Amino acid sequence: MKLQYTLWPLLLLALLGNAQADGKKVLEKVEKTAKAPVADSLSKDELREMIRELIQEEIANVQPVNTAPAQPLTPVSAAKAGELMAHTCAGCHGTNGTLANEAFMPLAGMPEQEFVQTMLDFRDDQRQSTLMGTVANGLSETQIREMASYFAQVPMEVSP
Amino acid sequence: MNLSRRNFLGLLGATALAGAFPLRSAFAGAQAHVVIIGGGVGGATTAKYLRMFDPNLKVTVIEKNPVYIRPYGSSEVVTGHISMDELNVSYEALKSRYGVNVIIDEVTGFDPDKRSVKLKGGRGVRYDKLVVSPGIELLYDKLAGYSQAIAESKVPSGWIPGAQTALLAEQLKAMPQGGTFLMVAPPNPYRCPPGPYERPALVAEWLQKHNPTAKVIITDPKDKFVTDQTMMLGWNRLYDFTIPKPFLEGIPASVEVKQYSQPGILEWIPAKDGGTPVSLDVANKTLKTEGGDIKADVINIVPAMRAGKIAKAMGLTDDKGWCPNNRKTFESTLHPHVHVIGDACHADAMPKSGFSANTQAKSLARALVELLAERDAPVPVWENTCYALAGSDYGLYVADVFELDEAANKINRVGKFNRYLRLDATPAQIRMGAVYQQAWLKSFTEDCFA
Ligand SMILES: Cc1cc2nc3c(=O)[nH]c(=O)nc-3n(C[C@H](O)[C@H](O)[C@H](O)COP(=O)(O)OP(=O)(O)OC[C@H]3O[C@@H](n4cnc5c(N)ncnc54)[C@H](O)[C@@H]3O)c2cc1C
Repeated sequence: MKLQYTLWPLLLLALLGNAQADGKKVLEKVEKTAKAPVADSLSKDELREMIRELIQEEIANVQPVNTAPAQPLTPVSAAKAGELMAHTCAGCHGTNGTLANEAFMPLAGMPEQEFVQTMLDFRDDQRQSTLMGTVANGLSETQIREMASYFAQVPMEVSP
Repeated sequence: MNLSRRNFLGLLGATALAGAFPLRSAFAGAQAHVVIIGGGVGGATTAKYLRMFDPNLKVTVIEKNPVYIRPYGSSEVVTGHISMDELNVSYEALKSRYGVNVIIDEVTGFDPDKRSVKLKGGRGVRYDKLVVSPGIELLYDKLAGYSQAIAESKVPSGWIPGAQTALLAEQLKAMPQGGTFLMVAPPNPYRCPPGPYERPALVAEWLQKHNPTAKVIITDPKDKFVTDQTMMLGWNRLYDFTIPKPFLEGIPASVEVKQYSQPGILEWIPAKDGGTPVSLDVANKTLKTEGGDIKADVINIVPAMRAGKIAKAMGLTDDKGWCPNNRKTFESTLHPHVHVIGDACHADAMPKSGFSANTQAKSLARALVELLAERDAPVPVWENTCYALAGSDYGLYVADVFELDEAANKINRVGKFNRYLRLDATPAQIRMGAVYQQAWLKSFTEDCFA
């Protein structure tokens, strides 16, 4: 069924969202979700709830990080490579990719390789999306890599 | 469990207090002052990101209204999906979390030599760099028979949200059964390209439930519009809209397009079919168009527009009514140290949208920090994504990444790929678009103001 492909990017992002997550558990979840009866007939509310749950699960898996970053996130010196580009994501994904919203994937702290692969897959139509494919098409691989390294350095925090 | 942005921001504040950031050498201890006219999307985002990038900067926003009434998402008030109050955005977070000074007053002019802004209240405010993001002025008088007074009392525009938006909502509710809602779309360029098509679509959806024999007519001085094909496909599915021939081209065979023998609840009259408005006869609630007279019960006019009034008063506009600038730093070509962003400026391929203003603001904030430190401004990057609704469960979008052609002083779209929702998008993708549209309203407001 077509829709399952539609949801792949979300599911994968949600499920593979952090390095700490136990690899086997993730795989099991991917399988489970792929088999789940996700259908075109799902209502908007159901879709929203599903996205919300996946994001919550991802966040729950994140180990609380040391809140003191080794260096300031926003140095007064010239912007880090990828930083300006990364800020263009914030309109949806929250300032610095940290967000308090139920529908968009937080980007802060996402492992670099995962960010890069996901964006390249969006760009090359290996993963369907609503809008990310279009955005990824406008980015060079260098820009994607630089953004990935920027976001990977932003601590993704979990409130107690 | 919730992501905590507070921790991150608190940390930023603490570091700043501890003086961990070196002072800008160029100012040798003196605090540079960036003054921002307009606390809308462009102004607020600039203020927030300036303070994030450099907590040693003094940043002041001058805004004439005590709360911001967000234009994006404001068509949802027309159909009663949300209330007027839900459009209000507070300046508290900018003040308390980011240490931005917010002065509620109206700017009436400035002295470019003394680098001082004049306020209606009589004060002057000195600046090192001035940012101007005043939004738009609506040119009601450009349509014969229309005026601001009429817009405020009888035929609202509601393109700058406020009392006119509320009036339009009341008029829709009070519309007689079987009545006609007429939307008069604006000429290019204008704020929010899909907006004049999203609003009548939401009205059509509302009417289907509450006034099923009523109809919606859109008259247009243009023959195409941003998102047209994907929007029309939505109308075709939801409102028995027959897609005009030129827009059928390129729709894959796998996508079902319905044919209707009767006109549906929503009709679009492009310029080539006489849609261009000529004059308004308020007393008879009739719009004269090039194609003939249209009588309606509720008329919503989006008139031509130009940069917010204050831009003209400050001598920042050209003969087209918008502000020319250096596209790398958005510094005005008419006044040094003054940077104009958002709807008010010329930005070539970038649409006049909130998302554009937001990404312009961030590139500008970085440029200002660098310029004040006597370093080169970095190469800017911008993006735009406008979600739009064809119905409350039917989301679509236009998305673009932009780049600077410095030699030509021009902003270009990157690449030639499809900028719209795929025409063969699945029902779930379409519904997801609506989920994201609603979520975006929140995340976006947060990125700009909180
Ligand atoms: C119905 C509708 C739907 C929209 N939907 C979307 C959408 O889905 N996505 C999107 O990206 N965009 C959308 N937009 C467009 C978006 O709202 C604007 O593009 C955006 O607000 C522009 O930001 P700005 O900073 O240029 O102007 P504004 O946000 O209008 O801010 C200008 C501010 O300056 C203040 N001001 C003006 N003059 C003075 C003065 N002399 N002194 C003091 N203060 C002053 C004003 O009070 C105002 O607060 C929509 C617009 C409308 C009308």
